[in-house]
Amino acid sequence: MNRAQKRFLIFSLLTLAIVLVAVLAPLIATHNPREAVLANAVQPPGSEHWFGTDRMGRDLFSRVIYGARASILSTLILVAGILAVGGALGIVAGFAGGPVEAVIMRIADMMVSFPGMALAIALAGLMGGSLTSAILAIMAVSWTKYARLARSLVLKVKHQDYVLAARVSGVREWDILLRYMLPSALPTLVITAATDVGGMMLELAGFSFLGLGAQSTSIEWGYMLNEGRAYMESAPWLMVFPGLAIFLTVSVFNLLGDSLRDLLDPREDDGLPGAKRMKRGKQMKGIKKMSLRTAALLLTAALAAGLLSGCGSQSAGSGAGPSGGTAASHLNFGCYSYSDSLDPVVTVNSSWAAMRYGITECLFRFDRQVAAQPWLCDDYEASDDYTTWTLHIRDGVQFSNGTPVTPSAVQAAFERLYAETDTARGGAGNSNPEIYLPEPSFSADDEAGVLTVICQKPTSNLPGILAYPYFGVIDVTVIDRQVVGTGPYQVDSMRPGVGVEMSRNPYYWNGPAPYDTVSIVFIKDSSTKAMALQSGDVDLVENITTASDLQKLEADPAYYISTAAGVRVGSSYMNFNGPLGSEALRQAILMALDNDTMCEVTVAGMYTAGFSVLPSALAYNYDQLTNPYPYDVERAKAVLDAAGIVDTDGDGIRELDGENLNLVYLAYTSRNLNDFAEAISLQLQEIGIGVTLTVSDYDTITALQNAGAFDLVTANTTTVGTGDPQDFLGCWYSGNSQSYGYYSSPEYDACYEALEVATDPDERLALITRMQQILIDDAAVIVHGYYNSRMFSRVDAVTGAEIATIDYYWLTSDIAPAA
Amino acid sequence: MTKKRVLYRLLHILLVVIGVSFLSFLLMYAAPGDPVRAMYAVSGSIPPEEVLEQTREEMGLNDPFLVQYVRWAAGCLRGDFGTSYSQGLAVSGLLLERVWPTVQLALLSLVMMVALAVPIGMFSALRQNTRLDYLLRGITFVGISMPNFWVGLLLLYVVAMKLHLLPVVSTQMNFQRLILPALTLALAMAGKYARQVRAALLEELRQDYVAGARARGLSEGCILWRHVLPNAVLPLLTILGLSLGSLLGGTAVVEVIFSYPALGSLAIDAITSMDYPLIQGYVLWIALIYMAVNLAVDLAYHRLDPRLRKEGPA
Amino acid sequence: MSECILEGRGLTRRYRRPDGRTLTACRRVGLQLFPGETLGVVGESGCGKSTLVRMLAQLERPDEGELLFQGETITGLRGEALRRHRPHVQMIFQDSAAAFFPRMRVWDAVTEPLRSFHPLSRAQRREQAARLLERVELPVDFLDRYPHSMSGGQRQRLGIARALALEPEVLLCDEATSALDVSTQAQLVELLVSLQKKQNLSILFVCHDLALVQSLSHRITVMYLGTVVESLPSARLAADAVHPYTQGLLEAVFSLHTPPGKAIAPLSGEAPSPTHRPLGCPFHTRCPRRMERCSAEEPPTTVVAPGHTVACHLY
Repeated sequence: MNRAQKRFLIFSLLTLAIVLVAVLAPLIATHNPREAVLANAVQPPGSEHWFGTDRMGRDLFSRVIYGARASILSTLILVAGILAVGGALGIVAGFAGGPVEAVIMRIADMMVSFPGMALAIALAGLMGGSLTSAILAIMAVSWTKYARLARSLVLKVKHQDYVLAARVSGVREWDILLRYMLPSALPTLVITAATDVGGMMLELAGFSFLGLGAQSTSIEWGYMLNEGRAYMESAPWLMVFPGLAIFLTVSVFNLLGDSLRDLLDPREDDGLPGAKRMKRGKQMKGIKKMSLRTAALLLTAALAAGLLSGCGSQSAGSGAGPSGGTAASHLNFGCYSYSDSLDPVVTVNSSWAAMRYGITECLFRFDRQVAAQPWLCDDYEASDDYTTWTLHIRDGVQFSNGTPVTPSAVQAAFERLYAETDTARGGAGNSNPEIYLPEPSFSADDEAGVLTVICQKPTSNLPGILAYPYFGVIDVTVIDRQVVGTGPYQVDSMRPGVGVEMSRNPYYWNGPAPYDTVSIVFIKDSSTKAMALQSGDVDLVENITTASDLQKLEADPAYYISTAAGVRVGSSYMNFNGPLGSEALRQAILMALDNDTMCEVTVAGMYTAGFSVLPSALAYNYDQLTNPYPYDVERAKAVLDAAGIVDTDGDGIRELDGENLNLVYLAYTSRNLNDFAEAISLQLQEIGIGVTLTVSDYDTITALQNAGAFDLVTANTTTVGTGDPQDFLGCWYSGNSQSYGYYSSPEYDACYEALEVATDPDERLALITRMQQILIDDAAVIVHGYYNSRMFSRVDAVTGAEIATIDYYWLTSDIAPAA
Repeated sequence: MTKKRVLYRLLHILLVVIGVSFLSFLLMYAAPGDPVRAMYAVSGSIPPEEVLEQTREEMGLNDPFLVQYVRWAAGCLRGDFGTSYSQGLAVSGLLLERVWPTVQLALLSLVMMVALAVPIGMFSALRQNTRLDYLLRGITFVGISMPNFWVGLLLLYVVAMKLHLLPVVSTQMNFQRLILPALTLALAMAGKYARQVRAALLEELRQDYVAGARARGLSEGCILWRHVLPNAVLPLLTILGLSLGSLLGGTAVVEVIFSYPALGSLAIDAITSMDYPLIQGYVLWIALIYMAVNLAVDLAYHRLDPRLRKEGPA
Repeated sequence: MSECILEGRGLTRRYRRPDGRTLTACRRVGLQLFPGETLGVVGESGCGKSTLVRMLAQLERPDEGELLFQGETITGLRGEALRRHRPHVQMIFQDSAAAFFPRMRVWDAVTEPLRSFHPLSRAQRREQAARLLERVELPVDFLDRYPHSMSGGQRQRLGIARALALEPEVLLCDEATSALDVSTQAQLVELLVSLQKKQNLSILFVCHDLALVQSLSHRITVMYLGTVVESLPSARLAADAVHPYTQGLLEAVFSLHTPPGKAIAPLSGEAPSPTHRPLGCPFHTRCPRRMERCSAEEPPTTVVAPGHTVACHLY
């Protein structure tokens, strides 16, 4: 046996070993890979769990072992598919020639230039993200390489004499293809495929990493890498072991492919004179020259690139760097960019951005309890029927360009808002103020400093509505050039995707803005935000969502973290038109869930636990509410037993009305909702309630939700966009609750109808409080918690960095340099 | 190439571009999900169905598929690539903004990749089967076996955070910003490329003309640089072209990790928010780039490989 | 004289080159092949011999002209009908190594033609293969070998064996001996002659070696630049050849019996490119006896003697 054969044998055995690990997973794994013990989450490797545990408390070693199955199988299927499809098409194209070849090759050209990622996402949308959709997407884009290869191989041999001889002998064309073309092309194709297995595995892992491939319901290495990323610093084993598994497997396959090629195509290792006999001395000279040339090349390239980038960059304001200590105070604020524009009429996101960056302000502003307080409007009055409002505009307010803010200016801003967002009037903006306030009519009395607003119907919450970022007051006379507002800072320049350079508004009405200049730096990634804060490249950062970074910063006194349990509630609607119509079942479910651990550990503190649909931080009497179904697993089981929902056939799942309980749970990947859904599924399974969890994208889930095809469905909703929860509470009004679970309660309906017409604040508060309690008592919905907003700052650089309850405000005039 | 060939090529490009854009339009159309709802979802409160329906009408989303496609295509011919749903701005503007950073990143990555891969490949080929060869091949193995997002995160962590050699983020679009993302991409590709270089060189070294040249007394260096290398370069060109094409399409993961504003992250955002016009614009760009790069590579081939040039009369 | 078994009339084949020029490989070629006889075709490289053979083997379709087999026109055959006709006309190739698929064993290769016409079991095919090997005087234990492990001469015999599998009436040999050394050539020629005697095989023998062709053929056709310039019984070649080109060829032939002092008289000049065929007689550019007419008019084919035709204005 020669060397090549020996190598092939070794690597084949290694490959076999890995495949065996996958096949024999149940024998090798130490634990059930799906068994979750939340309390054990994120444990380091030890004697009990060799690789540690993941964030659901599952044994990582077993998951890695089982993961081999999905990863290897899917990769092999992928490569086999590409080989078959590409090879077949290429051989046919090469042999047939003419129009057939042209068509196939054009299609190949098309697919090659089609962005694979787009296809993957589209397929994920069409059929739900899964390994299958990822495989199909990669296959659709990658077969072309094999087709080209097969075609070129066929072209080489199709004019050989033996083909002519066969034809003369009367062999059918089809037989020529199968007996001559195919065997000529196949070895090279197979070798190529073998060497591609490694790369394909990485591709699949990459897709799972981005969330386009395997979902949380399957055990796969790429997805595990994705999950572990948030814990990179605090629990590195979560990334290390799956990553290592991928690396080892890919390496072995690559080595196998190489050795196969050496075996069948022994050109490299046959020690031909060509390579070996290059004499040392001459080699050295050649290599030295080459190194010099390479270095020169690199240097030139670097210089060129530097020059190129130099002339490409805009002259920005004062650059990044730690602030403080210099005469001119400067703030570097790192945040996620939701919009490339700052004009309120363009999109919802641009209106929020302008407000968050401290550029625009409204007539009213929400306080910590999300009640609208006077701001640019300092006094107001409403008619009895709440249709006519008289708003007095604060005296002495100016735009950042010095133009006074008169009632006419405010009127102009509002009228522009409606005009620019109305396509009937030729407006191109996507913002939609109509959904909050149907277009009112305005009249301004600049002498008296009063703006009158006449609403189309009684609007008792006008202050709250006017506090919404759409209604940021801007100077319409200059809007075609720049966005000018009344906030503490004004825009000097904006570079989409990069950041915004701002400077102090010299005319700010509410005291001097603390910083001379501010650089807003757009950072897309949570971990990067954390790193930027720690390295000093930014002094202030909003909303870091990765668990390990959060924990690290919380533990470090050099950073101040302001947390607000915000206005968003994470919840899962229950569909009363199904098994969840059973009250006992619903109660048991609520009692089986350890909300505190889920909020603190599973989602690493991104939520504050709570039991009412309205967040605890709001002024809706959360502290007066009672929770009859606190976390108590035993009691949950007892309730189920008492209701006769028991497991009679010993399969571990309880039955309701003779059928195994299997709740259809829909979740989408946003703000940790899928994490909750996963954890809940596991906990429910612990008490014998079967759950089928589907995690998909927002639109798919919403479509299913609207069709009523669910038992449980996640949601993360802003409860008080304009400071009033009435719209949100309408989800449970029987008139429109079909998308939210067909809940129906006569008392609730009565309260809601009363709320619709009530205008007295105290009356409203009482109704809202009562409605909350009704929902709680009826166990109508699973409340996961309230999404936390946070602001992070370096203690030595910044003070006053508090986050508001409602996330319209980030950069406020309270944020100032540290003393 | 003759004028006729060039014309054929351009026609071919046009066909492919049309095909690709049609396909992507079709996919987006068929994919479930509603861009209107997605648009509103961002703010957390979805307006009632009538408002949604009205918006759909306004945006022309209820028209039949072909009508929408033709409308878009007609707009393209006028230079109007539509308005992004999620950003509210013109697609052409959004894409153009990010073209230059994408190009910069692509070029620098490519240069770095070549600077890394070629020497490694050459050393490996020239010292075939020596320890150095195995070492280098081992390194390239590691290179092609590691996920690139891992490499990126690692680099960011080590170089920027721990060693403070480079800023983690900055507002300047300068050279410093490019280094780490380009290096990540280069490392990911260099392993594969080095192996190609090695294979191509070995293939050339086997040829008869090398032995012939040696027999004629040419020095090893001369043989290497003036004969072997130029011949080996040709097949590598194609691969280089392909790499450039894919780089110019954007490199989403790296962009996200390093907060580098280029086309890849724009594409991902567009796709997840079902922003049809932006997706279409992006797909069009990708297709054009690929075709253009292919054309450039073919032209280069024709100039560089005398065998392909037109022969004179027999 | 029995009627001819394979006849070509006015066969013309043109190729379009990628740069737009047209290459005329064959122009108005006519020939007749009779049962049991060998027709030799000679000419320089580029004279269109191979193209002619391919057309006769129906591997390529003539752009103009007709092909007849036993009096019936077969030029229009396509698809399955064409395939069904194949057993009648078989071919042997110049490069025997390229003519066999490297991965097929001898028994398989030699009986492959049968697969498409008579389904046989493996054992039956091996039997057939053994018989075929016998006919070409190859040892039976070659059955399980690969064609590439055989010498050139043996492989060429194998080619003959394969061609015989379908019991054709016509055998086309395209430079079948050109890649072999002289002694092997002789053996192969012997084999062909004996096969012809045994089964009344018609052979078309294309070759550039005039002497070899003469020893093997009953009649000889001379081609130049895609046209037939002369056709005559091979026995009378040296004596009766009249076309200037044929005479030039005869003068240029080296023979063991040529007296040492004899002057070598090569044909002057070079053959023009088949893409730029001269007007009139194709040979006129090099003809020592050309006239005015020759550069303007194409000479018609005239019968000079029974069985002897020439295309030259001198006659």
